[in-house]
Formats: sequence, C-alpha cells, structure tokens
Amino acid sequence: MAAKKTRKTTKARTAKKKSAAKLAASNVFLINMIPKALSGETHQDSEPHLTVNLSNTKQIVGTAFTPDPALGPNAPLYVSQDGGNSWMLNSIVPSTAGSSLGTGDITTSFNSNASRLYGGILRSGSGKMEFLRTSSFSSPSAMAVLKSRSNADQPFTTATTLGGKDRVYIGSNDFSAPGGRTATIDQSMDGGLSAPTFKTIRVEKRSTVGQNGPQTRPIFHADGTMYAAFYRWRTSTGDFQANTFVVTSADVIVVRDDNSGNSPQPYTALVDAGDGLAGKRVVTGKRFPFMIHGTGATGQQRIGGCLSIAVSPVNSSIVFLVWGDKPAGSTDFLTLHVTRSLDRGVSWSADLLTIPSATNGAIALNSVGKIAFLYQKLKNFRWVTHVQRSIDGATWDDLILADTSATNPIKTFDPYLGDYCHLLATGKDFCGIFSAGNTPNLANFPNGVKYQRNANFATQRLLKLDGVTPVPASVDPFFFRITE
Amino acid sequence: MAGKRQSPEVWQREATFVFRGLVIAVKDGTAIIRVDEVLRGPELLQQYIGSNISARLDNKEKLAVGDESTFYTHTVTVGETLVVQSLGHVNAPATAATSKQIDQALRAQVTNADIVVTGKVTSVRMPRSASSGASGTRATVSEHEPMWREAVIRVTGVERGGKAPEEIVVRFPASTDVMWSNIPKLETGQQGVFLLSRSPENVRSGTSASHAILSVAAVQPIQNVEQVRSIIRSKKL
Repeated sequence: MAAKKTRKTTKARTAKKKSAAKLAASNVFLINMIPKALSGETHQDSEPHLTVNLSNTKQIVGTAFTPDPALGPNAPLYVSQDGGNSWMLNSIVPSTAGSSLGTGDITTSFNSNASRLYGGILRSGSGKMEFLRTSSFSSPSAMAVLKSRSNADQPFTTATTLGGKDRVYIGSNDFSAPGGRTATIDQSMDGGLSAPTFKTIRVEKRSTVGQNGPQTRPIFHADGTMYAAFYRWRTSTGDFQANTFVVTSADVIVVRDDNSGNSPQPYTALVDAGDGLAGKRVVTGKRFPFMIHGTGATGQQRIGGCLSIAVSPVNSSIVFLVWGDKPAGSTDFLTLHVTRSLDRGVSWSADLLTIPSATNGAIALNSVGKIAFLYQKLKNFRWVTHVQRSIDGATWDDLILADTSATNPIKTFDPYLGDYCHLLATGKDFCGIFSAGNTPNLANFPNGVKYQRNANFATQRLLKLDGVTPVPASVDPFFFRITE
Repeated sequence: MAGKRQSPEVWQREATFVFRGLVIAVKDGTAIIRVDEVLRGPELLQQYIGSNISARLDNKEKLAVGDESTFYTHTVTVGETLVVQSLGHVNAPATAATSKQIDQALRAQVTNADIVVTGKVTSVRMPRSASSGASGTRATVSEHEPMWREAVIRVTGVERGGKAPEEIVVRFPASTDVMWSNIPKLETGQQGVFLLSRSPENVRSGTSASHAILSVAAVQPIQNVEQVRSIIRSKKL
C-alpha cells in the first residue's frame, strides 16, 4: 500500500514537473499600445478590450477610453496589422466633436474572417448604447450605427460567422428592461445585412432587487452553443452616492442556448434543479461592494463585481467561469474565483483558483484546452497584472506582466484601470489587453516590455515627440501575446 | 472631401487641426509638411511643431515643395507618424492674429445656449430626488450615475437671452465617472460666464433647476467674457 502511495505521489510530482515545464516554455510579448506619434499624451486610457481576426491573427483591434488626438467627431480604435508588434490609432468610432472622453464603454468583435468588425459603445455626449459595424476597420470611414437606445450599460460584444452569416451578440445591463430583469443580450442572426435586426432577449428569469448589475457576458462555441454569465442582485444596502453601496446577496447565473441563441425559448437550455427555472445558479448569496468611485484602499479602482466566461474550443461542454465576491469576514475588496463545468454548465467545481484583492478577471481556453486567467491584484499599493495558466485546472503557473504603482498617476476619472480587461485564445496562443501605469521602468515589467511612445528607461521618464521634453505618467493600454 | 471643393469657411468650421507649415515633399496625393505653428488643435498637437507629418490631400489640392501655407485638417491615423486629411489650404501664411480660432466647442456652446450670464455660485445642494436616501436611488444604481447636484447662481449680468432672474438654479453632474468627469463641477463662490441650456426632459424630473450644464464649454472663466461677447456679436445672437 505504502509503495503504491509512493508511486502515486512520484507520478503526481512528475506530472506536476512536466506540467510546469510545459507552462514555462512560452514566450511573452508585451507592448505599450500608445503610438510613437502620440508620445506627449497623458490621457487615462483605461477599460481596454480586444478582438483578433482568427483567420489572420496579425489583424487585431483594441479599444480603451482614448480620445481622438485632435478631438474630432470620431474616437479611435487601436489597430495592429502585424500581430500586435505595432499599433496605430484609427478614429472611426462615432463620438462627439470636441469630446475629450473619446467614447464611453466600448467592446468590439470581428466576425470569423474580419470581413466585418462589430462594436457596442456608450456614445460620448448622448450616453446612448449603440451597436456599430464596419467592413474595413483600417479605413478612415466612420463605423455605421446599427442600433441606438438609451439607458443601458456595459455593452459586451462577441461575434462569429456560422453558415455564412454573422452572428452578433451584445450583452448589457438594460435599465429599461421590465421588472428589474436587466441582464440582456441583443443579438442578430445575420449582422452582415445592410440593415440587420437585433432581437432583445432578457436572460434573467428570476426576481432581482432592481437590476442584475453591469456584467452580462455572452460567449459562443463554433458548434452553436452559447453561454452567458451574469449576476442576479437580490439584496443591497448602503448609499450609492455616498460610496457605501453593497450588494449583500447576489447569485452568479449561467444560461445556455444550444442553437446559437436562436432557440424558440432562447437561453433556457440550462435549468436549475433547485427552482426549475432557466439559468444555473452557480453560486448564491454572494456579497460585494458596488462603488461609484475608487478609493486609496482599492488602489483608485472602483469595485463592482467581476465576471468572465470561456468555453473550450475543442469541447463545448467544458466551460470556465470567473466570478468575484467579498467573502464573509474578508477585509479584501474583492476575491476572484475560478470554477469549471464539464457537463455544459449543469454542475460546477469548487474553486480551482481563489485570488484575493483582485479584479478585472478574464479567462480563455486555447485550442488544446489550456487555460489562461488574467487578473489585476492590488498588493502593497501596487497593481500587479498576472496571467496564470494551467493544463489541468490543478497546477497553475504565474506570469507577472506588470507591477505598477496604484497611487501614481492620480486618476482623472473612474474607472482608474477599467471595469474590465480582456483575454482571448488564438489557436494555441493567448492574446490579452490591460491598462496600467506607464512609467518606463523595466522593473515594472518582469517579462519585458516594448514602448512605441518615446521613453527613457534609464531615467524612467516618458518623453514628448522631441525626445527631450518630459511627459507625466498616465494610464496606458498594454497588449500581450503568450506564444505556447 | 474628394470631388467636392469646399470654401475656406467650411474648412475653418470643420477642421480640428489647423496649422501653418512648410511643404517638404509631395507624392501620390500625399504631402510631407513641417509643422511651424499650430493655430487650432488640442494642446497635445502642439508637440508637432518642428516635426514632419503626412497630409493626404484633397484630390483638387495643388501643392509644391517649398510652399508655406495654412492647412485645415483632421487626423486620420496616428502611428509612427501623424497622418492628417487635408480639407484645404490657403497659400498666404496666416498670421496668428487672424487665424487663431476661437475654440469650436465654445462657439457651439454660445450658439446653442438659451441664456448666457455672468454670475457667482452662491450654493451647491442635492436635488430633491437624489437627497431622499438610498431607497430612492436604488433603481438607478449605475457606474454612470451622474450624481446630479444643483447650483444656485446669482446673476450679475446677462450677455444673451433677454431678461434673467436674479438667481438661476442649474443642474450639473458631480460624478467622476468617465461619462461625466469632463463636465464642469460648480463650487460655492465660483465666478464665471455660464452658457446655459434648458434642462432636457430626462434631467429635469424632481428638480427645481431650470437649466443644466452638460458640456465642457458651458462654464467659462470670467476672464473669457470678452471672447464670449465677440462670438455673440459675430453671430448677431
């Protein structure tokens, strides 16, 4: 018996070693996305998002709270045509002339071959949620507005092409939804039409305390399986305007549709055995602060929950979920949990990872089922951006991409880093985006970094276009690629 | 702009980056121009003074190496270099005095305002709907909540809009959220020029405020009053 146990332990250790060796054998490329020609900029370019053309992974589009350099009528996309090695701005996102904001919340997604780029924004000026499209993301023509409506938040866009038709899904927190069931997916089954129709689907089937919260995160699989994750706010306390608001009880819910969201009763394939209603309650009764603005204690970052969902490209039954809460008795502002389902969302594992004092979790699975988990953790008044990877969900490595001050620069608005960042798998590799302080100090980027904007790493100073005049630190978007 | 040559007045109105520069090279509808003076544009673009940028020319635009002109442009792409689209140019180099443009946002605000007054903020308070406690605001708990506040402005002069009351109550967003952070925040004792629009319907409910501040240019330092007056005069408002 003892020998068997020893053999087992040795085997487990060997597997762990092999796993760690495999995890270590990867290349990390990290780049500050601000172009050289914008070397003098000091804007807080937070809340980044990313999409990659999966047919040609050299084509990538990023977004952030970045204004047009001349404050023109359109806000910019970050565009790369060389796999993220270099970036330029192309101002084609409808905005408002003179807007120093650029755009409100923005997420984008290519269809399967990047013949079209879709987006969801909160438009600067009006605040309206708008659905956008362009057939040429690098051309100077402004993106077309496909749909516009008021009173919604955090449009979260994902698109694909099935049967030759673009499927476009935009999750949001739609305050116009009746009965406080605000978790919403707007979807088009043929987004490429000249005037595509979007169907508005309320995916919450239970009562709420007035809303579901901002995160409604849809994700698709090539076999037509759709999942979406959202919170269900059940009780709350405190005064939002006084920054004391707490969601005292929330469930994390996952819904599924097995026909691309196009079932007669969409997103009802997953029924919770506990109450017989559509939507699996993965966890219930969770608590977290929902802040109107960040504080020193939260590293200037406002906190308001966190959700990310990913499905294995090789098996649509395997789903990973990141959710956030503030566990009872915890002094942390938010703890992130990673959990997994192997049966299409019917049952969920205990935590595979638990990360205290963290936010902006994003998860992805690559073409061989490897998991990557991006998050930003506050430690000793520094924001540390991690990517942890695992082959089996049990053994994880830990790459630190950035380790930057949480007190400098001082925020100019909320959110400091963004209410989300993003991670994608492109075949075996992972691509992601996050925002962080841009002080050019190599110690802040343990896996290396490339700056396009003028910077002197010896003096740790950013420099204007003239290469001489110092520029104050600000928050910039960073793109990374992990080659497996 | 291809195929449609517009007037300098239109260029002036639509251009977001106006500069005086020297043509270094011209090829295939693109000119390389050394920026000598930025006449209009955000402060960020001042760093291009002395640098070369690329300008895509309007298809009827003629330029030669050595030309010194004033260029009316907007940005196209920003990468290793700045690329702008030229709306047009005037060959005679404009002087700063004649071509320094009044801020377009201010011009638009003066045009669109219902009333323009000078005055002093005597108090800032919670609007009734927002001061009624957490339960009253629960339905609108959102990251992008504007956090409306009301400011009472004691009017000292009316620049536009006819007779004004001695006091005007205006609503403004106190939120530091990205959607509202650049809208001016009023403070007790603040003096200024207030370019006010009547509150839109969605802002008006539950408030005694007759007007709202919803744009960056709606509050100007008192020192800008002459500039505001000159816009009013030029537009015969």
